[in-house]
Amino acid sequence: MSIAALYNYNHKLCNVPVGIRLLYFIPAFIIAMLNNSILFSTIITVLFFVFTIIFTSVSYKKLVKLYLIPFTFILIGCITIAVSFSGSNLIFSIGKLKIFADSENIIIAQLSFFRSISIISIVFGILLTHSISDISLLMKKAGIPVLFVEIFVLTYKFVNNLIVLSKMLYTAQKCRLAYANNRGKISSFTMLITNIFQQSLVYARNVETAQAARAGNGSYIFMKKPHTYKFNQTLIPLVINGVIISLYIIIKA
Amino acid sequence: MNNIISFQNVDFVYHSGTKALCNISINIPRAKKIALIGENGAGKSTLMLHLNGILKPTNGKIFYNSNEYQYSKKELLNLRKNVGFLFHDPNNQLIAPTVYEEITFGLCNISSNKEWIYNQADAMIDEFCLHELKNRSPHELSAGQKKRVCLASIIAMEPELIICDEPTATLDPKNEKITFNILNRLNKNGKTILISTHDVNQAYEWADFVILMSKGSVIDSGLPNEVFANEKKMLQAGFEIPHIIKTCLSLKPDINKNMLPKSMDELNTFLSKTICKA
Repeated sequence: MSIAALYNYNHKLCNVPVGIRLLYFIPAFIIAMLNNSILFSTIITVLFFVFTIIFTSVSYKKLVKLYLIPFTFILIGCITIAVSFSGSNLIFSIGKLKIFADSENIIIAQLSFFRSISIISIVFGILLTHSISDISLLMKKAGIPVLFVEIFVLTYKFVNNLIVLSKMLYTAQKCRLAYANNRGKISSFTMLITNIFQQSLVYARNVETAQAARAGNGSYIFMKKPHTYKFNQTLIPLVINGVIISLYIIIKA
Repeated sequence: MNNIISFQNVDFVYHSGTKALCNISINIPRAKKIALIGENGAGKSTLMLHLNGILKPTNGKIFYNSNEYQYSKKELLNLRKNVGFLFHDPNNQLIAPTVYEEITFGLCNISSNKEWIYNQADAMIDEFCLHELKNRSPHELSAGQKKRVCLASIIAMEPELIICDEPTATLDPKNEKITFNILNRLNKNGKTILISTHDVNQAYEWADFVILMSKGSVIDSGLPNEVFANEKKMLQAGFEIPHIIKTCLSLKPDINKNMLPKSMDELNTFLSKTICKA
């Protein structure tokens, strides 16, 4: 499950200016980073999970699948924080190998886990309500040099092409029983990688020619019609942030 | 000035040593629908890349509106503004994150007037019915939609000549019809359209002027009924003559080439007249 596959171009915030759209997420993101409460992190996670479903109309099953990837990595990371080879609280032993988990480490692991998941839910909210062009616009507004913004946009385009190309080549190989036996698997995989590189180079050359044909001069400039700012569009994010900040203060107190 | 572009003894040799064009001398008539016919490797794409100034002839000269091609940055920018190129594979052309931005790409390269760019892009969105797609990523579109977006991004630049490298390849009959309707509409508005194709039947019905290529040379050019009725040259180029001409010649071998029917409707009339007479 990828973000590009889930992205709904007609989500409920698509006509809201990018700056206002960010108001929904940035304050919560900063607070989630500073927060030390498991309860607050859980509230943020649930809140943004629900927000994302409401704003983007993505099915909750697909969203859960999307969460599974970072969830797995964070879980593994937090387990490594929690356990150690020395300490006072022995959990289990395999022969001479003894695994300990001290309460201090467990608390840090728990905090890290819930904080990370809450941040992930906000990031997913941002990614599912901002297209690549919105993000590139934000990068430009943030003063990031145009060169880096272009690299970001082109990387997206080329990665996308690389995925399509590798899928196509892999299917073509499988149709000819390329991965039917162990011996064939290695040589087929090597050929797959070689061909992906070769075809990517050809593709890059063709893209360059096609851009030159449209008077391109090596820089990738696009324009998007600016949205009109309306004051009432800021009301909902302000209310949401008000609630989040109040909750944070109450829980901290 | 009836010719928009003229080639004078143009040769082109690739770095690999392959001679792709040999002594090409042709005139591209203005405001016509032109079909460039030739089998794979005949040099069609190479010739078309010369029109846009992407390739520079090894020998010979090319003229746009009687002015010789200059390959300085400024001159190329001016040329590419006036000579649009629709590539065979739309995936090579689509580069922007959204359809709307894709249309603005060429416009941003030729102008910094934001108001004009927005107006042109909006007009293309209307003309090509892209309202539903304008915020979507071009990579996620179907082959027909991608072709439409590519064409819109070129037309937005208001070129005088539109070159299409096999515009209907990979398209289903419905999208093929849509693409040709767009090209016909543009031609009616005074644009010169040049397409490369292998489909002689379609080219015969559609084109006003035909260029026949074989092994890097232009072996014939002229009106469709003249070029396509020349069986010897058609065979030399690796093609059979179109079905309409074949049917007419089989019924009436001595038919005047100027009397050949151009479309299926005209063929029906011809057949009913010929059969009734018999």
